[in-house]
Amino acid sequence: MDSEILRLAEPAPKVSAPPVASSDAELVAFYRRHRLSLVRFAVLLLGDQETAEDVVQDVFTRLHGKWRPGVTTIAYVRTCVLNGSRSILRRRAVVLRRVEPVAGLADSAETAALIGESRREVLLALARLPRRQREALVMRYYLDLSDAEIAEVMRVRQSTVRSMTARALARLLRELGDNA
Amino acid sequence: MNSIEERLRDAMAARAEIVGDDDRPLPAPRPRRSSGGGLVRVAAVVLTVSVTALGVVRLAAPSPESQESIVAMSLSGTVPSGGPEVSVFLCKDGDPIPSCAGGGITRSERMNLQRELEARPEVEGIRFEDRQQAWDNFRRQHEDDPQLLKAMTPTDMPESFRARIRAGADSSAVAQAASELPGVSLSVDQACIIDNSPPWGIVKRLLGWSEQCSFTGEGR
Repeated sequence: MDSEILRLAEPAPKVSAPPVASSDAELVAFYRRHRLSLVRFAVLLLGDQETAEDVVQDVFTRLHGKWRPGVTTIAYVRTCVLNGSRSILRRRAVVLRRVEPVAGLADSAETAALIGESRREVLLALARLPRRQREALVMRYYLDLSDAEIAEVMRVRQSTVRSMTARALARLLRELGDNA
Repeated sequence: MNSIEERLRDAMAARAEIVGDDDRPLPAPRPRRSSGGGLVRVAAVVLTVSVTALGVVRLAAPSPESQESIVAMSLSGTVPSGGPEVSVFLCKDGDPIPSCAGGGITRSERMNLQRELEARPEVEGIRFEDRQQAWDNFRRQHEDDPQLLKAMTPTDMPESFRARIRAGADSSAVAQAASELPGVSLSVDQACIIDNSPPWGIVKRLLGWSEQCSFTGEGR
């Protein structure tokens, strides 16, 4: 359905050619501009890069022919990436019959060497958070989104975003407080 | 001392930085399904629904006596013309499913279920399918199987809510959440079943990628 009820999170990209003819060109431009940041967003949600890239590619596969200037915003595409990541995590939980901390975020030796011990501790704690709390933190502190924008991507109320963020921070502080 | 917020910002930025740009091109569009194979596809879906539902229910309750009602339920979960939905089947008296042990769905459970479904952001709209509609659909789909039709009656048919899912939204989350509400016997994610039907479903199953498409009720 193309009648997504979405408010504009940011101004629609400027269109000079008629929208029908240019929709594919626009999708290509959008993809070039946002792909890397979307993959990085998905990595922070999912842990490993390969799966994150697959989720983003899959979202763009589905966007063909559905490009609507002003409707297909970055907020909408982030929601798609978020949903794709959630499906993956849920599938993993079903297979494992329990919710595992997000693997790959900071547990490989390679990552540890690149980012250092202190950051690694933070990421490991992040990986142990409940999924929605982690999502809220990633959008707040990595994407720098406002409560309103996070609420739009997650499709929850702003008050919910605020309480999730507060609970997540309190928990991280408890876990990391000693060596902060 | 760094605040926890600064540490988060810094750690996430550093982790994200590791992900380099590999210049993958824009993926090609997903191939559209041809309309010619429609009938075969629906038949495959019917089969898959019954197999998954039976499999799940067998695991949960090894009681052989009233499998007919489960078959009826799963067979009536076929794809409607308006696109895939999440079908949420309601408990009726005598259902052999553990979550329906207390009898049929009560009025307040039904209202609660409807409210919860309507409140989900993924759901575009819901409709109710009563026993008679389920029976009519079932009969239409199985006109060529008189023996099956003779074994069934309208009272074997479960009532259900059918939730239309927004494009791009997570239908599996809706199916799973619905199964956790009291008075639900089974919920089925039809988009998932289509995704996992042959030929891709076979490949996915071989690779161990099969997804869970149906969720039995969690009880009261």
